[in-house]
Amino acid sequence: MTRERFPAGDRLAELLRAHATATLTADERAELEAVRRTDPECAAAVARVDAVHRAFARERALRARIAAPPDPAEEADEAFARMAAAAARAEAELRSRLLHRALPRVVVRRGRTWRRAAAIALLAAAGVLVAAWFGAFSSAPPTLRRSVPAPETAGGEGASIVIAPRLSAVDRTLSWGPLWHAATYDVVILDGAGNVVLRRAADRERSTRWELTADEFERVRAHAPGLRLRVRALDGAGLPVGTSGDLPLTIE
Amino acid sequence: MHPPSSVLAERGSTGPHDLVLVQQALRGDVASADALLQRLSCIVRFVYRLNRVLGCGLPADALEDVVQQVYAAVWPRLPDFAGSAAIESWVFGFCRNCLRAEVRRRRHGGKPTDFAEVSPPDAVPPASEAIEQDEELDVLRAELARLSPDERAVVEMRFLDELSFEEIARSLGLPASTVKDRCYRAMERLQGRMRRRDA
Repeated sequence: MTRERFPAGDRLAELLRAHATATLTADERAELEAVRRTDPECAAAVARVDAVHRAFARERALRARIAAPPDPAEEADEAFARMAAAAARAEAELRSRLLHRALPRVVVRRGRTWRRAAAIALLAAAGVLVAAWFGAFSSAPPTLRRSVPAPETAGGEGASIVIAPRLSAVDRTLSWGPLWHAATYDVVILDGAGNVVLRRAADRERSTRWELTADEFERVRAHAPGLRLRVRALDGAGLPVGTSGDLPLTIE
Repeated sequence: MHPPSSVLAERGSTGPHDLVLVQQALRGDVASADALLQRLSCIVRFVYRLNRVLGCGLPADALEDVVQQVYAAVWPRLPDFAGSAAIESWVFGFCRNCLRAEVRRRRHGGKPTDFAEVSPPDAVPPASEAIEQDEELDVLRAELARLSPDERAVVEMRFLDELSFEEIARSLGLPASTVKDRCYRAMERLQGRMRRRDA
């Protein structure tokens, strides 16, 4: 519409184009303003551009307020500290995902509708069977069961992670029972603020035991009390299939 | 010399530069993952300030949830990061959306907000007014999202990051005339669509 009323090559079209891209010179601005006062269609075109510019200006103003330099007062706020602790926990999880699993991609293939429908039905049936196998109808996710540690293996027949969350100078081993369908375990020790104090090395991620070295034990002990242990069982695709939650870790 | 960057972005960071960082982090490069996580630490500051500036008045426990939700939302979308803006600008949208989703959730049957838990926002409009003003900008954001990625990148760099066409051209590796054409085309689309929405 604008092009029809103000065809390319037309002086007014050039001015409106410069106005839209925010490249008007002072002289051009005055020229456009003079036309706008006498030409209602030009005034309408300018108003449309102005509306978009105003919206951008408000968005910029909002961003500028959010991007202001760090303020010590806000960092001293308890809410900010709690948010930072939550971010630290989320960050540890994201780091683990970045370093230990493949990209979360969904592959969509085109095919005939009936084939897709059959595949979906088949998957749904398989899902029901798997859910039944896990006892998922109880709606309870796999949870911690404190008992005797199980043999060292990535995936077993149990449906819960088993942990003995206790360390001492003579027994520096943490262990847990295998979770069915687990391929790896992401294990971290967190301090009271939720920061990761120690993460198990990636080359041991399949094991259900973690024996800390003497140095590691000392490093962990330095952050006591308030330590917590978190074990997350991941399947072959890196998706969580169970977690211990954050357990108080006792140092003796 | 680094090209200019967004007002929200870390100094010297640009979309194309950040795209490489994200791709390397997704491939499991430890240094890149750490650098990316460092850049994402802006999430706390953004959520905290948006809560005040928009007058949402969410208490600390809700803000903790929002921060976690932002990280959870960012992760599956990382492969979609196109580098049209710096990471901080990209994340900013997640922060705003998660915060407003939490506000809506609490308004409609969720846990009521306990305003006694938060200190009053300083010199900001009343909550409803600020949120409504922000929602008005949704029209602009929605229409920006409908532009092609190329056009959107140019328009955002021009009008949100306030870069010159020469700076945008250098950043995108395109002739300035091409950048200017894209910007104009995008503005024409935005004007038309926003006018139709208003009507």
